Amino acid sequence: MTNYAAEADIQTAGEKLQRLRGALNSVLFGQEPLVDTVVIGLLARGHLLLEGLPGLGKTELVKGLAKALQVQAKRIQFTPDLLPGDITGNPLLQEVNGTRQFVFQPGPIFANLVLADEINRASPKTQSALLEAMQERRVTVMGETHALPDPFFVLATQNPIELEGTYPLPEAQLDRFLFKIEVRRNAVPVLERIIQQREIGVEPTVPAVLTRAEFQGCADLVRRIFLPGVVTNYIARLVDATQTMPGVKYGASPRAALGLAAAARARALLEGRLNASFEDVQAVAAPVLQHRLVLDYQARLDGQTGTSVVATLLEKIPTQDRATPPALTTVKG
Amino acid sequence: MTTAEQFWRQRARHVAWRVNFAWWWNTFAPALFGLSLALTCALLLARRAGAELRGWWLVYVAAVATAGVVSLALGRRRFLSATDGLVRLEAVLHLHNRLTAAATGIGAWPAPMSAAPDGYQWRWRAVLWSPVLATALLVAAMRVPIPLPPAAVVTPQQEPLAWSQAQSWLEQLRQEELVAEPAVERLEEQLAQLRAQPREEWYQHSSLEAGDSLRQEVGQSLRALDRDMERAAQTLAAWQAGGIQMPDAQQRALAEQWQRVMEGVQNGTLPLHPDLLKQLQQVDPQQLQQLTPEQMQALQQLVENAQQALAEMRGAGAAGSQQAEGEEPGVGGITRGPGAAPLTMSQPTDLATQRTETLPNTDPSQAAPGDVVETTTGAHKVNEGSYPGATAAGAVQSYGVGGEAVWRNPLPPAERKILQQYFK
Repeated sequence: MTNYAAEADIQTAGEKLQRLRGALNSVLFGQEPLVDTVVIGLLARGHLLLEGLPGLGKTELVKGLAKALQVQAKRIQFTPDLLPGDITGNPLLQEVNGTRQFVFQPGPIFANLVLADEINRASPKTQSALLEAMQERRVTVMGETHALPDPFFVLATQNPIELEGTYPLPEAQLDRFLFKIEVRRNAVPVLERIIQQREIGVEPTVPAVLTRAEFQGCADLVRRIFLPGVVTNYIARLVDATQTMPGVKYGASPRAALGLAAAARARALLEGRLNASFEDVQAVAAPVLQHRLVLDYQARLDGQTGTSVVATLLEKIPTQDRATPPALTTVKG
Repeated sequence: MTTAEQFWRQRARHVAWRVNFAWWWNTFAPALFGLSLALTCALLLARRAGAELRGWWLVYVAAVATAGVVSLALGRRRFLSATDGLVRLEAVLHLHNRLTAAATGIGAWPAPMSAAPDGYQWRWRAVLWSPVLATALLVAAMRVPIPLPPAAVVTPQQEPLAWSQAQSWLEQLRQEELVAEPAVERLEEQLAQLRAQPREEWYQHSSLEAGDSLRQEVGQSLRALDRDMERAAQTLAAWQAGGIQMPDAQQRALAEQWQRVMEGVQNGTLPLHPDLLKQLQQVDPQQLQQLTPEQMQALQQLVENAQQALAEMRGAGAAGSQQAEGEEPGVGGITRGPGAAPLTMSQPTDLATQRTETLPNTDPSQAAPGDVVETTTGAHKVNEGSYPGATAAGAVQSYGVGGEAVWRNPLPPAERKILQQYFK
């Protein structure tokens, strides 16, 4: 039998993750689902794309995460004139031991947590500089490969408005983000709480709740979460069904299936369970799949979005690959 | 095995059994309906033909059993296993796949639930349509009234009576040598044609009519021959009585009459036998007076023999034309005797009657002999003072004729007048 996670390990990890959730929720008021999704994404070792209006706390979340996890965080503000070398780093001519030679100066991407702010404002050439770093977790400059620190996460943000002069991320790069998370606006009570407890220019204090090693341990534990065969089958059928969904021009890739499985396991760990379930898959299906579906013109004209298509998909595909006999009817429980 | 595991595994088996039965039924129900429909048709046809139904029922039961086995084989690929039942339960009860994990050995089994529904509900219309329709069809097949099958055509073993009678006459004619052989053969040929028909057609209307016609033809010919022979006997008797003193006119009349008789017996449907005709034609009407009494007597004897033979034949024919009455009433039909019981006064016919009752006759005018028209209670009015006179012992004063019925019908005046004019 594979070395699945034990009950005690799950319980210990759960306590740690609970502390992390509490720390992040103290930074970002009223965004518990968002915080949970971000933690799940990090546990699954995925890169996250946050989409929302300015001022909703995306940057604060990343900064708070870096403080809570005690990892190195860097922020890159993407602009149209940003060059790839500004991200990955450049070789500089330096005098070393009496000789002049090129010495690689690491760029801001060499951090555990990289915040790519307004990523869609950089040119495609600069955006593509992130491709290798996100997928391979290493950077190659002038034929020399440099490994990125572990853990390495990219949390990119993009603004859904003011799209003039922006460069939408290509599908290949979108596919490298495990989650695309929509950051929603706050409700009135949450706004009241923000007004009462925050001031402009004063950063909130975030306690360090986890060490890097502890977080790495939790991420490793995710891989030991039991994924039942029926859940694997459910994930496969869901991803396969995206290819034939009405309104979808191109469906999700196998990388999406892997991401869905990893995210479902991470959610099970966050919930303190030994195994992933149908409910875990359904909970993470929207952030995993919505940005990987390329809708056709008619679907976009009809107002469909990736989220609505995934919702239809979850409604259409049964958890169990078994037809119901005509003599029986399914009762909604 | 813990109590929780036992509970969930048992529940999963129940779910699997339910779904598997539904799949089996999904294949079996149309087959059941089809077989019932086929049996319905078979039962209706069998009932119409008056055949035995039990064999069809046995075939139906065997076919239904076979259909059940075949449905099991066809539906098996969709059946749920007990593991599938666990998955169904954890999906419906939102148990986060804990049952599957526990069955794999990861984690503990969830605590048993008081109510663990499987999320399925029977669609009774889809379940019951087949057995309800099948039952209705079979009940209808057994209950719907069907006319009895027509009676099988019985091949008659006895030929029609008219044929036998005509055959009897023709045989007697040949035996007595009364008529010419070609005439007998012609009639026998017609009779043979009738007999050449299939036996099933002997008693058809056309066949019976043809037989009656043939018998009538033979009978009429016999009567015509008998009349001619009667005239011949009368002529001979007149000659014998007149003798040589007979006036010439009477002699000529008798000669002409003899000549007509000869023409009749020669040219009739049944011409006289050549030998007999030759003997009669030897008689010369102009020279009858010259016949000796012995010759005359021989001639008369010849005619008388022929008359006697014809009379015997006609007598037998008259007796044979009557329908024979059996000892018991028949049940109708062409070979089962008359339907009415014989009206004999001998032994009463046993009709297996369970109850007898008296039929009142309220119309005395239609009373039959023996019917009690009226009963009265009273004393005889005897005039003891009258004296009938001396009578001999054993004598009777009045004579009655038994067996007669006297009908008195009261007629209205108009009818009575017509009747009087008729008998005037």
